Amino acid sequence: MLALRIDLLTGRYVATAYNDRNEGEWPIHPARVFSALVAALHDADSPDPLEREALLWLERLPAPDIAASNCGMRTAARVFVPVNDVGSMPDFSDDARACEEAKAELAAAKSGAADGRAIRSLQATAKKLEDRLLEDYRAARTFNAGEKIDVARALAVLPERRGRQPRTFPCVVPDDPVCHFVWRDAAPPAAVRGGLERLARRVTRIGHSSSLVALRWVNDPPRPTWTPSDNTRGARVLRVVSEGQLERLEEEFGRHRETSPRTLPCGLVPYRSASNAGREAACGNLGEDWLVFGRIQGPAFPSHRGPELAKTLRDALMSAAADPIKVVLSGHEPSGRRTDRPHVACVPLPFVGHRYADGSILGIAVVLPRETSEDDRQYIEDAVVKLEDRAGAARGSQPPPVRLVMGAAGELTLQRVVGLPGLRTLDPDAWCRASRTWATATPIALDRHPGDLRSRSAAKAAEALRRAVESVESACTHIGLPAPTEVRIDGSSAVGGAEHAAKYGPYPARAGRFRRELVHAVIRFERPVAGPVVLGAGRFQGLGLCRPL
Amino acid sequence: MTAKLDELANLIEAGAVAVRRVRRFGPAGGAGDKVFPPTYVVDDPKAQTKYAIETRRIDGAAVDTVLLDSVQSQANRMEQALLAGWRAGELSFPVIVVDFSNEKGLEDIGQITTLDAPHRLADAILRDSTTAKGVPFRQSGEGLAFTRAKVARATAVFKLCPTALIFGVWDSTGATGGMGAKFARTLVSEIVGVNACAGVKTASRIDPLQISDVSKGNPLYEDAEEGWTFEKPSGKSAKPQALKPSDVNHGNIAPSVDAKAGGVTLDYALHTAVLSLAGLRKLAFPVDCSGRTLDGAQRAKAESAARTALAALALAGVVYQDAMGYDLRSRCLLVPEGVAQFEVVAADGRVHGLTMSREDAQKAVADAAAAAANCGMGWACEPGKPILTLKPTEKLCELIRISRAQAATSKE
Repeated sequence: MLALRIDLLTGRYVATAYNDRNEGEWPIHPARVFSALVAALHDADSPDPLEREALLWLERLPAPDIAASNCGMRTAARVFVPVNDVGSMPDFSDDARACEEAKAELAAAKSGAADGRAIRSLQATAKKLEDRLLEDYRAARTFNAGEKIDVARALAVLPERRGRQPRTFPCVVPDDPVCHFVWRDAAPPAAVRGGLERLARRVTRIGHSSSLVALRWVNDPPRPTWTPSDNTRGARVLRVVSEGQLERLEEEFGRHRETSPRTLPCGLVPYRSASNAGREAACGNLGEDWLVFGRIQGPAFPSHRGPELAKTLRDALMSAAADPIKVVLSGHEPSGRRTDRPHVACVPLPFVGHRYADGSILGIAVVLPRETSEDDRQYIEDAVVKLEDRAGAARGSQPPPVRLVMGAAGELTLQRVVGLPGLRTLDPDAWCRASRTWATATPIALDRHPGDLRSRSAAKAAEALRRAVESVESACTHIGLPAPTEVRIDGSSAVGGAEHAAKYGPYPARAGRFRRELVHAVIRFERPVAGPVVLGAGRFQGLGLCRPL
Repeated sequence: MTAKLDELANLIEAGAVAVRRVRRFGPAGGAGDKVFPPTYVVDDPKAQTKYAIETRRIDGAAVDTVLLDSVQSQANRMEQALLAGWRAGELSFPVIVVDFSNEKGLEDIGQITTLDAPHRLADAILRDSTTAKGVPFRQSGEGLAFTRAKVARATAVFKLCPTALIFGVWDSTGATGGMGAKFARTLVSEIVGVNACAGVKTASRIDPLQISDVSKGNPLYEDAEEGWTFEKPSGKSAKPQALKPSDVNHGNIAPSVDAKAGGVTLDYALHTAVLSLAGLRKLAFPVDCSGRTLDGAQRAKAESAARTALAALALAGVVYQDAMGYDLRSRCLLVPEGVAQFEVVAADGRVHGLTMSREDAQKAVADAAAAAANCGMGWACEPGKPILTLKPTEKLCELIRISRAQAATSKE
């Protein structure tokens, strides 16, 4: 067991995502930490060979497990920093160097066996170069009327006239400012351990210079929260190192010398939330493979408008998808009958679980079944891309926004989230983290009518409650989860900001359909359950969406 | 060596990681009073405010925090605090100035120090100045020494501008381009507001003279002497533009509500300052301030003394900022809640307290400088006097005069 503990001394981590200048990076990428160790090695004029050996040993290890808490991200803001490439003074370094060299040659000749003629010649050369240099200095500092110079550039040296350039410093704030990298099966030889210890002590920052850290090798890391995975679905891609990384970095440094643009040589490895990847967590038939859209414009709909929004997005996807529409998207067999197989759910994501949460819909996720084939996934992705391209906007680093018309309520503009989501609500991890206890953020539409939950007759109400509990239990097993050990039914949610079940209109809204009873619930399982947990008859439209507690 | 300095030196020797101070502040107007954070250009069109907001988990609950003073801004404030201490003669350390006070017509610019210049020792204002002998700063002995400095050979920067080693400097535009001296900051300080709740700001003006818009019947015109006039200018010049009373600052201004930069209420503000001792230990000083090569135990002693002097100066920056107060900007005055205490993060992660008053800091800087001088790492400075006074070039001065004259003419 080998574990590296990273303490973020300022409580923040300032580092730009490798694929988006406006996004922060989290968890800390292993390759970035390796680079920091290499920088520590080369800070010394003559790097210690034992420390170098230690890094050569480290780079051969597989990608580490990572223990890191959740994080919040600071809103991406542009700051304007004063430039320094202004002024009227030219660069004299070449002339000054020539002058110095001539003087050195003269001094060498004087102290050597050179004859007087040669010395006089060297003296004349040195004097000529020195006079020229002094004349250059004079010309650079004096002003001649009518002289052609860049006035604005010269004046900008005054601090109050200095131009400013926009910069971004993406910053994440982890819940716990400590992160561990864990190599479970690694056992370094004593010399290697010593080298690694010395290097770690000299690493002062990771990412931006304001991102101060303390690194230590420890023996008691916490359980990992992120582990490397072969499955790219729903994973976060992190940069890692492999054999040859130290040499690649050294070669790369020789090329860029910190002046030219550079790219960190690295491998990319998908990481999945370890709590979910572990065998101990049970999971349902919907997966962590989400395509999340965030609201960027338009009204902030309350949660109870969720099913309507889900239907609008599903219809839009159906209209963009290639014919014939696949079962995975439509949820209907070619015969028109409802499929028994899991299919895509459009799940609106309400702002809940925060002190100021108001239940408004911040985005919507297209959630794929856990066992989606590559073909089916590609089919859904193609439909999403086609929907995005319909708006006609250019595809830059971010996907083009998608507009959804919600009848008289107005138009909603959504954009697919790429990289680290700025809002916790839009992070699948917020909904998929394994937990024994779950609470509904949107009410469950019960599959069977339980009777009158609000009956004045205590016996009738108790019977209805028992049936409602049974209905929730069977909704759990129906999606592949174990039967819960406890279910508490209520009209209001245990999650802050979630809307009361009574706020929701009749479901389904269409007249003539069997109206479902909507209830909130707190559900406990015997062992951890990984999300998403979406229960009941309205689960494909985001009803019965649960949050891990 | 005083106890305080002894303590600092021991921390650096023992491999302590950092010294930090986390301090709570409240709004000067009392609990619940609104403060105004800095506004930013935010690219996100759905952003609710122009402030930099982040969510932190405090005591298990997610709360919004707002950036009240950034790392860069804090560095500038601490530099100004150190400058005030230097000017008062309380803190003695090397400062270079560019002196405009003897330049005719530019006396008001005064002296620009390495604590004022945006890029510190590497700043363009120093590059555009010369020594008393007329040699451009970068071609002078001091300038060349800075150009050649590195983390592994930091003596020149320690000798000329130690604050650049504390707050960071990058000679990105010097003779060697981006390969110039590059020193990461060792002191990081930031202030955030915890549990921030955005408010709104209103703006309006009721004109006591109740001048209404008369421009339809009686338009106003610009007048060079009176500012404005009812008389339409005659002559062949361009068509005169009719003005409203509001164009000349009369009349009511309709009320408006700014919801994106309307200030915030907070539970409290949190100031976090961290000095990386590991960062200071990275700085190597293979030669002393006279250029003599240091070896073995002599070098170890000199390096330790130099790093201790830098640590004392950095902590003085934090403590002296307290004396300056935390009037961060208009309507953002913070007052401390309770006494401030530094804490030391040891190499094994353990934490213990360290107290440092302003007097302690002042004495620590003086004693550390004296101890460093004993090892050949002395700062050749006198209290309140610059180590080097540079002269702005005649060309730069003349350009500023011409620019000012042009600005004055265009106003007329």
